[in-house]
Amino acid sequence: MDYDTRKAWAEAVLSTEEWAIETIAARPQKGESAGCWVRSAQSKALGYLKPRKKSSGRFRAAYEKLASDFAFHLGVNVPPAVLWVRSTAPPAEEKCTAVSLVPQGELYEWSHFASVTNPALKALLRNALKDGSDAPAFDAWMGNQDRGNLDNTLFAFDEERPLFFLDFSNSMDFSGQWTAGDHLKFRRLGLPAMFKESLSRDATRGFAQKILAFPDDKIRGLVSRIPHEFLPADVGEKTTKWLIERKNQLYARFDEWYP
Amino acid sequence: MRKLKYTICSYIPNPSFSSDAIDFAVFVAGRSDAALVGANLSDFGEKSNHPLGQHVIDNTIEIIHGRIIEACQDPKARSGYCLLNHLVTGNLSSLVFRPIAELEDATNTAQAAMSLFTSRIGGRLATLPAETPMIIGTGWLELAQRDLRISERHLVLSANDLTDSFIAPSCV
Repeated sequence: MDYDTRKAWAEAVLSTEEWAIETIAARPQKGESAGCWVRSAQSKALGYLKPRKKSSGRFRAAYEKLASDFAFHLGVNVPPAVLWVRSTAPPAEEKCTAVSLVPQGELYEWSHFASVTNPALKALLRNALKDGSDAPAFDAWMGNQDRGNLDNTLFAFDEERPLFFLDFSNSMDFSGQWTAGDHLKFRRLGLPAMFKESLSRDATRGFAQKILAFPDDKIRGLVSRIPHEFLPADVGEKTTKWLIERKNQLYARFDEWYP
Repeated sequence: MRKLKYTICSYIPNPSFSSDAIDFAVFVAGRSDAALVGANLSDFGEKSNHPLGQHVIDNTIEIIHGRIIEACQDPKARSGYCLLNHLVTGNLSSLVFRPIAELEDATNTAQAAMSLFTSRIGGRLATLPAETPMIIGTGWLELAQRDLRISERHLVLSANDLTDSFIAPSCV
């Protein structure tokens, strides 16, 4: 996943490619959004599509795209994403989706390393995790409360930075908590124990400062280009305002959210 | 007739490049029981370029077994089918679960798992040296007070423990 590929995906809003569900793997029978792998008929790229399940009043695809765009500009290791209108979706499934680019090479999850006891392997794991010290600050800004979920982080050792952060559909105003007036509330982040132990507090704090310096106009521009069928105009305006206000308080309120 | 459902557990070394997969285990689920039969990816000669990847290659069955145990601990788990659904929900990594299929005429979950393994996967083990260890994990589930629990009868056998009753002659 080189820089040019990430840039091209981040610059695109709507995918013009045709994505087909990969049939080798079972489609999830449960899970909030029931995402699945999809492959492009044109580029043959592998993506992860979500949501497949309908969720009225929630803007999962838009949140995925926005988080991946912000991450690209800030340098957080979130796979780039594009929006895709899945015109062939069955009636019970969602048409407004996001497709995230799947990293190269072998892909592993947290649970795959639960039994690691070898000190040298543990050290490798901790180094990979330490490199993700920017993610907690990013999650705190996004209001993402799902990083404790072991399925939301992927290890791809063939990539330059092996630790990828997935799934931002439970971020921002996902359950109406920002609408209800909590957009300046910072919850302490819940992280898997080994991730928490491996973090560099200074690196996380430094990254919060980097987010503070992220230009307001950039946020406005990235939110405003999301098509209204994915994020209604009024919701987009409110989301922009909330994100800017959170960004401005993130660094000063570090002790409230740092895990 | 008992209805059994199953998934084949597969490994895709580079999903973004190709969907070529190596099947390594079978998980069969009934209403009140389930069975996992498989071998570690290292037993098929697979290797990883990264030490942590190699850990997964060397401990594949333990990892899948751990995921099943995790599913058993979900209070919503009411049957082997629930475990199967839980298992196939996590198709994000190189360890994937193929689409769920049904077995109409099987009556014994563990035997069905062993039969599927030997007919669809085990044959590839014949190319390995005889002393290559093969791990078989079989979990029996018991319904008790609406909770599913893995009993103590979890087996870990080596290749030497396998008999013709478990492995068809063409596979040994």
